[in-house]
Amino acid sequence: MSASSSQALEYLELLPRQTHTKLYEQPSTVLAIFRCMLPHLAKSLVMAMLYMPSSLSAQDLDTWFRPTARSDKDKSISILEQLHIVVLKQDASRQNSYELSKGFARALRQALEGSGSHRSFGVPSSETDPDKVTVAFLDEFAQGQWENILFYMVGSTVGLSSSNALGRDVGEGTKALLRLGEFVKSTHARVSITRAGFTFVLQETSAQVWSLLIVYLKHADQLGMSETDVLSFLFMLGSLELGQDYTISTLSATQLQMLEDLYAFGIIYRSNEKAKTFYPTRLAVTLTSDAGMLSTSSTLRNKAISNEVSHRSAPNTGFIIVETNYRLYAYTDSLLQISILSLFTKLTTRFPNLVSGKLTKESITRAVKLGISSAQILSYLTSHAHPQMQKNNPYLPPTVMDQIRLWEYEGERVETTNGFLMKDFPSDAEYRDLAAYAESLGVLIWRNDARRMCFVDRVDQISSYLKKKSQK
Amino acid sequence: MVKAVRGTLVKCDASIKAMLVDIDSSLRNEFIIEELDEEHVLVKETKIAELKQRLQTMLKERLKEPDTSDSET
Amino acid sequence: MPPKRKAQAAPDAEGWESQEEEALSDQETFDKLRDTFDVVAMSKRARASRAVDAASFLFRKCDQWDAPLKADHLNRPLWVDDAGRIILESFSPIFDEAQDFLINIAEPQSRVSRMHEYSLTTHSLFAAVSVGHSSKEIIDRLEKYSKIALSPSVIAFVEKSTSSFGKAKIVLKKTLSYIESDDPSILRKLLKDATIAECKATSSDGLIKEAAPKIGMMAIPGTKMAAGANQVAAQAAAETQAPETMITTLREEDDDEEVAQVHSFQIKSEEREKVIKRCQDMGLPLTEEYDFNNDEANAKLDIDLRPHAQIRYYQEKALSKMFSNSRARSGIIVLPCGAGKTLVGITAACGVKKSVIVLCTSAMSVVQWRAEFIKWSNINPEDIAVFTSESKNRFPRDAGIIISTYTMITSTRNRSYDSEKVMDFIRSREWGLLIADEVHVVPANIFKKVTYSIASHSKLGLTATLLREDDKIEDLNFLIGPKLYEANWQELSEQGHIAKVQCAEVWCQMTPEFYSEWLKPSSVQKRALLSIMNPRKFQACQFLIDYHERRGDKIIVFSDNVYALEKYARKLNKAYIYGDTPQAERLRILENFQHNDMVNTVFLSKIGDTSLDLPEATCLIQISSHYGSRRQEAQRLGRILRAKRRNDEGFNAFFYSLVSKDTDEMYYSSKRQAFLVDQGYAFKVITRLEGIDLRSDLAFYTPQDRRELLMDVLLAKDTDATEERIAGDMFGSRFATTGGKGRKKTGAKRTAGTLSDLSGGQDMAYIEYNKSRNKELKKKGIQNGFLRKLNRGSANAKKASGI
Repeated sequence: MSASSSQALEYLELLPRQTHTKLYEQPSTVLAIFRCMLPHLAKSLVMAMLYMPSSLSAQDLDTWFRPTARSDKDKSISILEQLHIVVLKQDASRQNSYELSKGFARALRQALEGSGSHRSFGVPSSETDPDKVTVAFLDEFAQGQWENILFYMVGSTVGLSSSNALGRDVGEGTKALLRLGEFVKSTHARVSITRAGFTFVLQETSAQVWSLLIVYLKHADQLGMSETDVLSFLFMLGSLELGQDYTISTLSATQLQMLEDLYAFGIIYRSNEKAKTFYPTRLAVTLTSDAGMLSTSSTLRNKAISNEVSHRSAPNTGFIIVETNYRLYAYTDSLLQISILSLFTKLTTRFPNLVSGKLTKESITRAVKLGISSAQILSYLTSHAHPQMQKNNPYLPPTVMDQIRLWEYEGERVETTNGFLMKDFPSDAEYRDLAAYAESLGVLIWRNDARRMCFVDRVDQISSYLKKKSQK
Repeated sequence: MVKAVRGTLVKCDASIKAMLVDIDSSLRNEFIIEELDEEHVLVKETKIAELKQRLQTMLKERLKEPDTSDSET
Repeated sequence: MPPKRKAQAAPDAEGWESQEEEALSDQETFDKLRDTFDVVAMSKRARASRAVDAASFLFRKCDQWDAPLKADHLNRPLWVDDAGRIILESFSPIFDEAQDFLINIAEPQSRVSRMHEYSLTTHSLFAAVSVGHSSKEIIDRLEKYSKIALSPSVIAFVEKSTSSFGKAKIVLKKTLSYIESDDPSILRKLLKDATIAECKATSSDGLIKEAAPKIGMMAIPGTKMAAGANQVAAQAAAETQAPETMITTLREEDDDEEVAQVHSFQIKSEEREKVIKRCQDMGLPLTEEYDFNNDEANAKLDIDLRPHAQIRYYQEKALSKMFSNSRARSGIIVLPCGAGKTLVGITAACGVKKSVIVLCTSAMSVVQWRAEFIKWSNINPEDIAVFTSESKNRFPRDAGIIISTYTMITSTRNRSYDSEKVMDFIRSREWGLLIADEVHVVPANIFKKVTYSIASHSKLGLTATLLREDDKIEDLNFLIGPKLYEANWQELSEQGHIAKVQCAEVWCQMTPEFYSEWLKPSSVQKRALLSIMNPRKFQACQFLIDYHERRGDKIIVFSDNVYALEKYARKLNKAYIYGDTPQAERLRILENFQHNDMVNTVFLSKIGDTSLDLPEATCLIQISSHYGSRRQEAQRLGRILRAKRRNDEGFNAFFYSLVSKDTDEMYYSSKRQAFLVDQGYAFKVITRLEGIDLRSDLAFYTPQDRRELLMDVLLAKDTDATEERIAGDMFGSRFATTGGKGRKKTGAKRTAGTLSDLSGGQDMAYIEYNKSRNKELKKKGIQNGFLRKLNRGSANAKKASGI
């Protein structure tokens, strides 16, 4: 299971049984879940049970595991149960046994055997598209669309919006979605990134895509779409082939409605709104696997700069150098990266392939005020550290890391907790008794034994405890 | 009899506490309910936002901040 | 500033005050020159012509995103922006080559580890030209190293700076002054100017034409080359010796051309200054060079380096820039403390072999310079004279060396008869070389006085930090010469020439009582004193001293504030030295510190900032300092760079700066570190000293003790002692970044007082670290006002009786 699909798994686990049952009608969905969402052990269990004529007794299952591996088994079974893939049964003699859910088993067999007439793996267009596009074109399209979204989030925060048509390439639907997901917030028509948004931007592309799609899924109902159809379509996309165009004739109403949004995200490409076909992009086909991912956000380039330049500055290797004098040098010409850097760096100078600036108390404090944590900044700087920096361990100068943390801490000079100060205890014993009780409840925030005072953040249980004692 | 006093517990450096006390005493003791120790004070819940605001102002006034301009120029 | 301070200034420093307030007559000239070459304006113009994109507004300083990037940029090591700032990759395969070139033509701004920054300035280019780089060569090589095409504005800047600088030289030949140039049209242009024409010596008519001297013939004593030649001006040697030892190999191509001609005309020696000024006005500043080989009028000084004196490569690089062209070129050499500045000066003296005058900041360093001359050269000790308030010698023969202080040379009033006689001696003769030690501390107008009253053929400025918080450093370019060389601290430390240092800033929480007082409206001084006397800081200091003494370190604790110095030292029972400590006593304490196992910590006031040579010290703790002075920070760090044990396996020296949290100290501390941080020193912030909570034996442990201390501090604020000394510093640092209203005025006076500290020409009480003496001292502290008057009286009497 990849890191990027783990959040998809978390989402799936929370769905009710009916939705699962509905989802499992599609072999493509079942295969995708099987392949990408399940831990290895769970996969093995599913495979073992797939062609079993009868249910598997819990006792038999236990014999497959060494006692030390018990917790691994429990974890796998728990996931499978939560996804309603495996059902626990109890027979008359109160013997426990496990069984694959009927729908899931059937769909998985179909997927593996290629049987049935479900068309859930998409139907390639029978006609040759006169405007057939290349994989390179699709990559560029997908990357452009996706980075426009990221750029919109970061660029608006930085203030780039005023200077050009930033965000014009991002659809209103997408913008609304970003707000719904609380990745950005807008105050007085000014958009700024949130802490969650910054976490979002710092993720790998495939994780970003899932994060956004999950927001999309959660709000599918409000848009009059069927959640199951949306999910099925997404899982189907994951099984498609890059460069092939697929007919839209087999899609449901919800799925047809999705096409426009997915186009906006750069997940699919259509030559025009009335086209009878669509192309999955790399963002689509990697939804359920991490292989051959689109490079992470770093290539939104100045159109004015020749392609030659763009290709030479390898986007995937680290590009940031931080010196002990807090100067920062970033080998990049990506407006997106520049915007991200400018969130917490005082930039000063830009060359065609390098920007330089300084990490200052002011720039870090400003970032912290936007809701970006020092840990996030450090993780960004570390994960994009230039190969020259990677010769050190840790990559970043420790004094700089300390200082960034201290700056964050210095921005927030007080820690506050609402609650109640307990005082005027008649005796030390009573004070100690209550303090101990509060501590055991986990509501004790502060205590001063000399002054017989303590502070608790919740008082209800405390007061009833006191009442009970006084009644005695 | 044991008393429970509603309020906001503020934990801070001793210097910041000194500032809070200073603000409080200059404004008719409207903020602080009780000074607890070197690093803790109990503040009225309704007043905490204003106190924080005043603290920020005071910090800005009293403590020199590094130049925003670049040192190298 | 109370008027009584004036009288307290040491006798020989008297003259300075009036000079301080005197308007700098050359100021306009300087300003004019700066305007002409205003890089900022230039880059602004360049910027206006550049394309703008969405992110342009983020790059306030410089945005050259659309500059043409060369196809093979990966193989080139640097970028140059419109304003002449250069970013250099230190991991480039041709880094060494590029660095050697950049250090010749640009000012290093930061040299940390991976990326170095330099800046092209008019002065750095002036230096480049004077060392012999042509305008074309500078542009060609920059273009070669640059990843992006050089912008027209940079090219124009280089051309403009180099075309106006260094084209004409002022040369002393047979003690006569000549204006010399490769290009006769420049001389003709100068002569068209009425003022200059007037100054032309009548004895000569027209231009004199002669063969230019060959370049790169000078062997630096103590180097490989000298080992073969062992003689200055080994004209023939250059062809046979390995040329790579010389910086001038850069110009090899040029040497193939036919013999170059130089043209010159003679000027009246007495009008020298006028001509130099006029040429600056005309935008054709003159370079000064000394053709010492052909100077027959001045007697030769018998001086050579001893065979054991080994010149390190960077010293050689620095000196070869001074001596290329077989003449001595005036300028400044910047080496970190402990990297052997004195030896560079001595080697230069051995190169020139004429009478030499050395100026230092204190009597203490006069003594050290003399000892070093005797240690490293074969000079007859009789030939070294010392001119301080305590000793007023002349040398017996025709040529010799005089070592003195700036104060001694520049004071005008109240000079004793003996002093006056020595001064006459100094003024009446010609000097081959003037060595100006710690040149950064000398205010421009003082130094002007030095250069005009001492007729020296060449001047060498030495310093560790060409830094001042004001912009007076620029003036040194005109008064001494351009910066010839600046060493890379990190490189020297990696090679073991200077010690590796762990730097830390220790944050000390203010106690509530102290902070409440700090918050109350009170004088800046009182607040500063509260921050310094913060009990938590005291405990941190004590804790660190204990810790490092146990490790076997020798510790220097620095405090600018004398009140705190005394309090700390006495409470901890340690030795301490400050401005008023008499010379003999200082030496005794220092000797104990160096050799006595029982004396491992010494407290020093700012008098210890410079020139104190204490190679035993391995740990520094700074408890109070002068505002945001980057220079003081660097000077103090310098005290441990020459640590004797620096080459021990895994050796680290320690530098702690103790700052009280939420006070101005925090702000100044980060300012102070700026320079060192750009030299690659990393300051670790320590918010909590591990284990300090467990110590109940630290001073001011009980609230009672802390309250008493607070009372002391509150009372102390009214005594003179704190007020007057709290922020004193050498020379011009009154400009130090406080943005201070009205500070200037008091600053001037403070400067005068401090100067006397430096020169060591002191009166005042006798202080020692042992208990009984400390008791006496305490008494003095209380009766301060009275005693001071008393002492002042005796000092004046002493002065009157003829020092």
